[in-house]
Amino acid sequence: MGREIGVDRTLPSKIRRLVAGGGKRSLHSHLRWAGFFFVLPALIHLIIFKFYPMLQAFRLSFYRYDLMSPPVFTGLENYNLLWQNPLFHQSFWVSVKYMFGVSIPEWFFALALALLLNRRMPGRSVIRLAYFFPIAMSQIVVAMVWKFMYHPYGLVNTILETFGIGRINWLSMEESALPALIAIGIWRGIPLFGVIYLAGLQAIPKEYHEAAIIDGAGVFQRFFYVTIPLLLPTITFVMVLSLLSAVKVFLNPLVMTEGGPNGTTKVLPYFIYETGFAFFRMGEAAAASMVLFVFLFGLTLIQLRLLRRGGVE
Amino acid sequence: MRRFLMTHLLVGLLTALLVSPAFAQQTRITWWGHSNCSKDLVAEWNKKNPNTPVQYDFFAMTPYFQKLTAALSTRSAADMFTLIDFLLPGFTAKNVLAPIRPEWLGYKDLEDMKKAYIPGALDGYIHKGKLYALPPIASGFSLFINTKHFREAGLDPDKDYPRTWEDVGRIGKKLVKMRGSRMVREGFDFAMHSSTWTMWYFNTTIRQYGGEILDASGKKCLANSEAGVKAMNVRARIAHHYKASDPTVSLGTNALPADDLPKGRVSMFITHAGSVAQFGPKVMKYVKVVPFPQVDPKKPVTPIYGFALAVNPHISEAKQRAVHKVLKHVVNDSKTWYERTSYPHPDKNFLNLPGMEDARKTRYLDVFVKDISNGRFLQRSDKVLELNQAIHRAMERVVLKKEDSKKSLDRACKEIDAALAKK
Repeated sequence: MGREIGVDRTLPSKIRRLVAGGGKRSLHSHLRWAGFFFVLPALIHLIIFKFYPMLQAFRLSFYRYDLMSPPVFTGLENYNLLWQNPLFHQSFWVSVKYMFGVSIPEWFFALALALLLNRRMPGRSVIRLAYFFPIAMSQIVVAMVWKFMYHPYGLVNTILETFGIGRINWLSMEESALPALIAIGIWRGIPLFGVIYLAGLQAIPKEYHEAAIIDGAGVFQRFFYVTIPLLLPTITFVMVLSLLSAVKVFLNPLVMTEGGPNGTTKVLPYFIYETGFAFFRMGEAAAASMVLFVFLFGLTLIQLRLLRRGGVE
Repeated sequence: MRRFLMTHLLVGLLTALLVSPAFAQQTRITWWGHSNCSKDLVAEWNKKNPNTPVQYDFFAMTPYFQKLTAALSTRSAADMFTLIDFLLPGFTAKNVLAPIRPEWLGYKDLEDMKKAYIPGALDGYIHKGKLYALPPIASGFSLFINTKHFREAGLDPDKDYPRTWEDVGRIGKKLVKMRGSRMVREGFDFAMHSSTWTMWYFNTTIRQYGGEILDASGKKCLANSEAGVKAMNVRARIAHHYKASDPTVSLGTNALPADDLPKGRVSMFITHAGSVAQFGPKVMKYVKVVPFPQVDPKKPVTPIYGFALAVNPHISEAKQRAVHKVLKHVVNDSKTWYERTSYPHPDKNFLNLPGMEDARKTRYLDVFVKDISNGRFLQRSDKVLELNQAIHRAMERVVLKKEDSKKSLDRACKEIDAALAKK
């Protein structure tokens, strides 16, 4: 490769030799090594703090381990225990409900927000900043604030009462606890995905819209035949990213409901935490986290396939 | 030459330091806990015992027990540490606690030691005839009533306070305050914030009806027995039949479980002696403490629990002996513990200690100690947290969804049996 590069004769002889590949190593090979050394710290971090624990968790899922006694190999027993545990099934379905309950509204509301903010209007920057505010807040603060807002005597019920709607015990009733957490997830996710949509919208060349206007296309025709097809890779990205981030929710159920009432908000990450760090069944918790991993991996594969279909490589 | 001199000087200094009596005799003891009172006692100890200084590390309670378990597994725990009684079966099963030696604390043996304590106060820390932790406080539950609310409802707080669960429902109904269809003050409420609190109530009520959560072997759930159903119905009746409480409105949290009482949102609430200090004298002026409600007041059973001090088994015997000296210093200071925490000391003669007369009159010490002496610790099981969660879910189904008690407890027992079957 190095030999193919045109060599500037004004360069010092050592560099000329290097570029031309005359030394032991070509410039290309040097650059390759330099690049490798640049990514090395990140790679080491990934190996130590991500891949190694993941492999350990996978290994642990075949052991019985309570932190205090030595691990005992039990084969697939942990997976079998999970399969027979109705609480695991409940948690899995709670996670699925939460994931779609949060993600689907996010796709539409975030797009609507982005379309609104993409238009020229007074105070656009301030509005953008205000909408981005929920994502900038610490998650624990969000959980605490919403916990008080959802209280029977809290702000949400006070507002509802002015419309004649009776007091709802949001976090204490099975029917309302999960929807209440879903609403927070949506509120927090819209700004992030709105910004991603906005970036996608701003990347669409104005010429397409101008050409469509000249051809007599109306607002809806331009939206459906110009904006949406060109935004498709962004839409796909947002869809999958929102699903992945929703299925990992943990802090809100922990702080606001502790998985209750009657396990209706016990999402899979909370189930894993409780099994591992409250009941000290680390092997079973590792097996549950492997199930979650396979589930997320499946979603990621779907993402890659959809992205390719959307024309994004 | 300069380097030679410096090296020899350093070696000489180090040798002098190592062989000096102060250095050679110093035994540093580490202690993990979650009480500010312990900090003060440690400071006092360190002043008197410079050769065995104690280093006290304070942790918030919930993550503390997780940290402790992880540390015990990796043999990196402190020399002594605080634990809550119901974690003991799990720890003793794994041999991560050293037995407490009564003879090192000045007693002849465990039986002799028991005689110095309120009857049953050490039961929660004994496993297979050995004591594994030493309680500096004794904690039980009693009923706190708001005397202002009683008088408002035309009740005499000194005579009309509830003795039985039926009384709680009947009197609680009179104390309820409504605004339209909305309950703005509960007559009585059970804490809803924690599965452990749920189990304290349920375990006690099932015992009051003559039942138990588990069979004698600890391998089979009995919570769905007749006694269990009756115990669960106690909660259901107070909420649904007497309508004395709205179980969904409590603002109680793990940090402040009894917060609804001083705020006037509930008229009667069951809590521990520590609440006296938490509420403060201003609130306690209109709060009276009465005995824990019973099914049959002639056969009283109350819930008790406690935080106690345990010793790391992985330290040398000489160090364990030194730790026992610290334990003795810490638990013997019953007055300091009481003044700082409001919890009575499990010492049999605690009420007769000098200076307790006033507390007996104004801080309901006699009621607390009486309830403690009728007390029984939570069901012993190394799966206690799973038991608590299953019973808590059963209670939520009964109280919040009005599910049949028997059906709900059958489901809980299925979950408990599955947990107990796991190794």
